[in-house]
Amino acid sequence: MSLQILINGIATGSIYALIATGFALIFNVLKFSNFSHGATMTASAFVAYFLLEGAGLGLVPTLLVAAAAGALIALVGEFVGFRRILLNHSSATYFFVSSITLGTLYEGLVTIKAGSNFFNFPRFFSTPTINIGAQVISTSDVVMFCISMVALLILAFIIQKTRLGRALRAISFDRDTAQLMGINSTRIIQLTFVISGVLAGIAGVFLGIKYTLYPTLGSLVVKGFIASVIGGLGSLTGAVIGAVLLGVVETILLSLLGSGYSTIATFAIMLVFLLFRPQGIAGSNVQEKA
Amino acid sequence: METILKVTGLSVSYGHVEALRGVDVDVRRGQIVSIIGANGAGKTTLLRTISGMVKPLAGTIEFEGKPLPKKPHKIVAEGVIHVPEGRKCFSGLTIRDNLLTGGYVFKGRDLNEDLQEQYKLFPILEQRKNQYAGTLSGGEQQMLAVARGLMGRPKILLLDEPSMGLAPIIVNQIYDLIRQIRDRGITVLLVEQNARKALGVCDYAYVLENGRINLQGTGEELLGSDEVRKAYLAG
Repeated sequence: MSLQILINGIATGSIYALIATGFALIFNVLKFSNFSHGATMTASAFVAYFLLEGAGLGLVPTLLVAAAAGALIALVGEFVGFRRILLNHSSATYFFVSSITLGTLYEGLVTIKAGSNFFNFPRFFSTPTINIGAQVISTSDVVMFCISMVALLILAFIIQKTRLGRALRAISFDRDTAQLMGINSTRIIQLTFVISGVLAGIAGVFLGIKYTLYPTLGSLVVKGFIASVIGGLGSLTGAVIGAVLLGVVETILLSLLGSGYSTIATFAIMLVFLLFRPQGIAGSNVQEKA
Repeated sequence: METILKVTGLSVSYGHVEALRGVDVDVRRGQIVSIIGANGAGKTTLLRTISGMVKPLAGTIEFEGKPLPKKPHKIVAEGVIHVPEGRKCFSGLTIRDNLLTGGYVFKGRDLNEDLQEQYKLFPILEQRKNQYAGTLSGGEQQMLAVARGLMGRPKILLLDEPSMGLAPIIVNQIYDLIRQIRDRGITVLLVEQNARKALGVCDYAYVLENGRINLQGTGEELLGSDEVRKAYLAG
């Protein structure tokens, strides 16, 4: 296996990791999958694309605008789609309905503006490839990998070391008891959505760079779901490990089998994995104890 | 001694089920006040209503002469700290993080001193501070739950069934601890099914039956009452 494939796989995996952690964060507080996460990625990437169109700004401003858009979309989504359901302790079915509805709505709005066209972000890198000896590595892969890692490290720091992170973890384990500690759970859940939205925005732009922008780009969120299931639902570390594994396996299979069979093989591997370890890699850590 | 917590005419319903019907409770500063009663009498509901987790249908709750705020996190900030039934430690957080969560309301304050104070009171927690709370035994989890409550610097500590499911020797330790907490000047409102223990430790007690206060008096008075003996101390 060449270095090129490995780096490509890790870079792809690091984007999946952004998707998977953003998704897992919300899973933690809602105990349910946020199916609007994918459309949030698409919508925030498109917002950045159209707002900065022709301005000739670099990658960083694009990411910042997309992150802000993602945060805003997630905030609105939390308020409209989830807050009442959460406060009333309603059945998970309502989360399903409202998250799917929100996702469809975002996608619809993007389609109205963008039609069914494909859009390309401007070329962000003056040298598209880096040569190391005989190996050719794409600059965007390296940059996306580095930025993803920085984002994930910041996330890990927030979750593990800050007052907000502790509150978020406490809520993930037991929202009622967290409130008895003086934690304003509504506020913390709002902030969780903001963080998840920021991650969605960055992931959206990266997917756009890698695969071009189109209104159903968000369906790639499936890779994030898969990664977070492989990792153990709700575990952020697990999600990152699962995502990188998925990215690398996918890229290797792609180079061996070609695009058609590699997708099938990837899903088959995942099903087999879940057959033997349904709780995922980190599963036991996140199980609730009585 | 003046009243610190005054509950007047409190009624609570879950759907069509009336859990509390016109409950009056007075807690005086610096005392241990016990609420005893059978399963389903409304004890936990009473505490959950005080801490804002359940909305009352009618009645008022006054703390230090003022009505309590409505939201749980604001009630905690007033110094009304509820240690829930079943301990409810955050099993996937370390013991240290559990304690720090207990001091959540003190934004920007260095909690190290408070931590050291709890470690002095509960040396076992210091030894295991980096372990997940889920690895502790039931008795240790109860200690952690109380220590976590103390991190919030309570003026009044609401304790829900601290002896539940624990071995007698551990129960004794917990009750010694409750006395120590009172002796530090923290008022305690204790809810228990273990009537003998609760009446033995308290300064004043109420008997809750089907959502109503049936009897009240000092611990000794109730321990001596035929009614209490028959219903709660049999055996």
